[in-house]
Amino acid sequence: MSTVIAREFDRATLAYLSLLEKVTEHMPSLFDRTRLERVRKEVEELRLEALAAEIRAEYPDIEVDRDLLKMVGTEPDLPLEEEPQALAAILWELVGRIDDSD
Amino acid sequence: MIQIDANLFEDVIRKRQGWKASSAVIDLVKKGDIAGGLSAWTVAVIYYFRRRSGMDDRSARQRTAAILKGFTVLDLTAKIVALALDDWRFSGFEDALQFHTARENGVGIFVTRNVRHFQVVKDELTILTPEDFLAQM
Repeated sequence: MSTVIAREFDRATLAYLSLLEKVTEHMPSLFDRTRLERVRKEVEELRLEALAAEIRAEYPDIEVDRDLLKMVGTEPDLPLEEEPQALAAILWELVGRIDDSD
Repeated sequence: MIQIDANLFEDVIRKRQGWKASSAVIDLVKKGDIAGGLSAWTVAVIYYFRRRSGMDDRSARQRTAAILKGFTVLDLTAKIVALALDDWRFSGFEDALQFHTARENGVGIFVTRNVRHFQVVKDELTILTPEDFLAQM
């Protein structure tokens, strides 16, 4: 149960951080920028502390760097067994494409 | 020196099962507690996965550089490519590239989620999951 809640908390805070950034960028006149930034920092801090605590629960001697923690869960899931096919698809799309613009 | 597979980085970025152990191993390298390297091929893999996640070229490059900070990029030479192309023990060419990169660069331990893929060379190179590596430290 706690794992599920931790995952939910992480996804929700990440989505909220993303929303705060969008609001700051696209609707600057609607909100107090200083207040938004304060909220953003506080939410980010909570998220990083939660992630660090999750790691500490299994590896008490390891204090993972903040920059690394910031990357945790920032991209959509891709099961390990699907990685080779996904990579092949990317290479086909990005590298294998033929530039016939001229 | 240990060599790290791309899937450890993907564990962390995608918060997959095992992300905590993968984070811990990567962190040990980033902090300089252990010497860690990765294949030049792995750099390309990390970059292309960032593109797949919707990043433009510039963002994907910057993200890849941030991920790699603290790691040594191991040379991928013509000799390694030739050895990998000719090594039929591996079902995947990329696994052969990883193995021969490790061998040619004097790597002692290869840390990967896909231990099963490297069973054919377990007598020639120590292959460990992130969890097993941390347990052995």
